[in-house]
Amino acid sequence: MRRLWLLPLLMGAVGGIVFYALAQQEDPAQEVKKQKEMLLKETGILPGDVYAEQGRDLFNKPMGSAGKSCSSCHGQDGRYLKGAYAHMPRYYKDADAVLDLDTRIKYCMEKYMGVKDVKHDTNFKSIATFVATLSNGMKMDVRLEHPKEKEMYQKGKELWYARVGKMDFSCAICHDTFGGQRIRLQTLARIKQDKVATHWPAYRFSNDQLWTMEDRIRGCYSQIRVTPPPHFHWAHIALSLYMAHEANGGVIETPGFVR
Amino acid sequence: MKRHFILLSSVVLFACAPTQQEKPKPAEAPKPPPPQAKAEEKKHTFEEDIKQDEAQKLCSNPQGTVSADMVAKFLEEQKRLIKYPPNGKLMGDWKKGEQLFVNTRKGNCYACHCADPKELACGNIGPTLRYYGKRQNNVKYTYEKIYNSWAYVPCSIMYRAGVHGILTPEEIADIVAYLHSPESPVNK
Repeated sequence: MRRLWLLPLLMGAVGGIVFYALAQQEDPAQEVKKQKEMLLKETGILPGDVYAEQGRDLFNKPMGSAGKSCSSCHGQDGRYLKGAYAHMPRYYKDADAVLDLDTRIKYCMEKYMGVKDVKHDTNFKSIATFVATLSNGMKMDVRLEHPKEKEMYQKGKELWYARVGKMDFSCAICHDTFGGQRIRLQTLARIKQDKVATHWPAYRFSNDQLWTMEDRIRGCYSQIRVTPPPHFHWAHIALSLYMAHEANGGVIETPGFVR
Repeated sequence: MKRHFILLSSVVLFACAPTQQEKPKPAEAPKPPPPQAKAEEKKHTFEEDIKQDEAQKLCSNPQGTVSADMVAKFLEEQKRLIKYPPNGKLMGDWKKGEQLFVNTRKGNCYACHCADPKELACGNIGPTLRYYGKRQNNVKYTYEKIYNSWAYVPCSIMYRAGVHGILTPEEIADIVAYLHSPESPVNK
């Protein structure tokens, strides 16, 4: 909890900056850069990195009925998990299923640590973020080797292109066909060129929240007026696998810093 | 001393941030309400909502459109879905249309189109609608395009506002008036 005393200060600073930015209505790409620079200048650390630090502490902390921490199996500060995120989502033998970052952590907490009723809260997301940072600087390298990985990828691809809901949208129509253009002032990320999977989990300065890819997917579905899949739903795993595969070769840089 | 300074500075910074809600430290943070949660959407499940109609199925492919030999039939079927206001008037009240045009739960047109030059936060996915009424556009075409864009362009990104009941025929007629009326700021 070394840097936690910074949080109230950070949040105040973020609030002030967001308000300033809204008042200015700048070019969105420049805005992200500027926000990042201003935050770094004022506090010396980005909020996403504070969450990741908090995740490190939680990672090393025993919880659940088995009296274990994540580090009991994965080493102090997760030293055996370096590079793990570069291959995720993937098939896990113990679960006999393809799991994404969030679902894998939930599985470990429930099965090996004896944590009951795992919630997708800030603490959970901080752990996920910390685990992702252990692969920073490495290239995304998701392989479709196991039949269940191939099957899940196919499901993800189908969802990606599926025109659904009252607004007839698919992921692809915004993030392939019209990627790089703007909805209002928000530039749409492009799935291939921007290798989006490499910078999630991410800190969003527009709502001052830490989001994993599952939160991002839920947010997207909600925006196109489709009831979002609950956390740990297969749709998250399928879409995350599709997006991670599209991001192969991209350098992982988490936590991302996005609008 | 250091701690006092930090506390004081965060108080000052919060005071400068009227758009920001104070949040407890993440260490003991309760789960923030999911930003996606909307009362009306709670009634459905994801599985129900991703069920597709036949046209959506035809559009769900990497090419983002239907095959060339399917186009004529596709357009014809989509055209049959269009309903018109009972009074037959395709141009309603442009002032009401303006409200519907900006309403993010209704037209939400600025997400993709620019129109009134006063609105700067407009998207660039669709063509600009500035001076739309001065460009010899056909009123019936405008109405039908808003009601069901897929009757003109198969699998267009422009959602079928009338088909899905996001806008009623009368509401579409109001938006048509907002686009065509010489008094509308779109055309001034």
